[in-house]
Amino acid sequence: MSIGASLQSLFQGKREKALGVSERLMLQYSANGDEASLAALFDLHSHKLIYFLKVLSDSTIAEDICQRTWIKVIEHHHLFKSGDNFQAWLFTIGRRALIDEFRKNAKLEYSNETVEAFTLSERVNHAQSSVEDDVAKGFEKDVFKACIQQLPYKQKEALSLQFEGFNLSQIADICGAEKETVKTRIRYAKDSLKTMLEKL
Amino acid sequence: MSTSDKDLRNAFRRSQQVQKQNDVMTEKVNARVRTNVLAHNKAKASESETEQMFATVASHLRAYFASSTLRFTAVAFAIVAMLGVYNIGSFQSRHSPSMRSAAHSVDIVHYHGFEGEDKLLANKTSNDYQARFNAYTRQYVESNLVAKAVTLQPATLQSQDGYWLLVNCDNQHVVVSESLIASLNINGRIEGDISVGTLVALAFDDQGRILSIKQSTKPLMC
Repeated sequence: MSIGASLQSLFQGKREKALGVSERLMLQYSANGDEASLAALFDLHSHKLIYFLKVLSDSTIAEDICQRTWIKVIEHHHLFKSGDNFQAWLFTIGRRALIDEFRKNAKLEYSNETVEAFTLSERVNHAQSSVEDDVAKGFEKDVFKACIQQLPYKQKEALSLQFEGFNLSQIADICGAEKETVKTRIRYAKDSLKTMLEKL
Repeated sequence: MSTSDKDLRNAFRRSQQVQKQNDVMTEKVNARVRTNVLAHNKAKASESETEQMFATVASHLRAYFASSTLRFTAVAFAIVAMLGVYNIGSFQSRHSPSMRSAAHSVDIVHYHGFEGEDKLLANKTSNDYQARFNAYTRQYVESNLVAKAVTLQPATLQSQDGYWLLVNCDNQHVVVSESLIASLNINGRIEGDISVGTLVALAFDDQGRILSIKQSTKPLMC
């Protein structure tokens, strides 16, 4: 083996060592198309994805988009490259699918101007009635989810992604926005959320 | 009392857990989507690549060269030549293990969960989470009654994104599903004070299923 090839394999080995479990599973799936790797990826990430989509839409849309997202993972598995972060890739696909759905469905507004127009006390009232609805349906009280759903779309999107563990650069890439803009959205979101939670 | 950023993050995690554990509708939705996704994958895998390739070539030929017999013959000859080159290439890559492993030389990740977990979830009509969980546990215990540990492997417990990850000497990764951990716990098959960084001994049956996870007193000898 030449020195160049040895160095290359050494470098590749180091890079592969840094790969996370999900990234390895995705590369395994990409290479062999094996069902076990896909099932494992689904089990590890689906709950987080569906929660993210539910915060941004509702249960019915979230289910549909979640399924579409995973189908896209199957169809476009070749686009996943070694070195990519699987969860960021998955959430990017999910987010785009959701926006496509919003654009197709005239009843929904991606910019969510309606919600942004609400005053704080109106948002608190909406969150309160959402919690009461859940309790009436027999679900456990989830004040946090009720409150985060009341935030303007882009704010709750950025904040959810940060809570999922993505850093500012990753959130900016996923949302297609500037890092500073993302930072501002997160700050506003946290301030509003804190006030709402304290008032409830 | 004012809410800190850490409080918000904890509230977010709690909210996710509430959804996962208590919202039966979400569980059902997740199981349904899982079944559909895996079915789609199976359908896609069963499509023959060769059939697809020939279908594409045939449709292009029909579309572009239907009117010219001479051109058709020339293109057909070119395609036969290309297929020959392709087959030689694929034969070489099949018989060259070093080339194949260089493309995807990642460490193997094994995933352990209940066999048929998705089908059970999808077909279960009861809304009771506990009943569903007991069904898994019963199935697993029944399979354990006839299985004995055939291999013991040392590993180190790590944690990633809240799930258990066991790494052995060959840097193979074993991800253990939450349902399986819960089942092993109930059946007393997780022994010792196991936390992140603990050396463990994994007992596998002859079908490669995890039977128990014990704290290991011996160091990991690689």
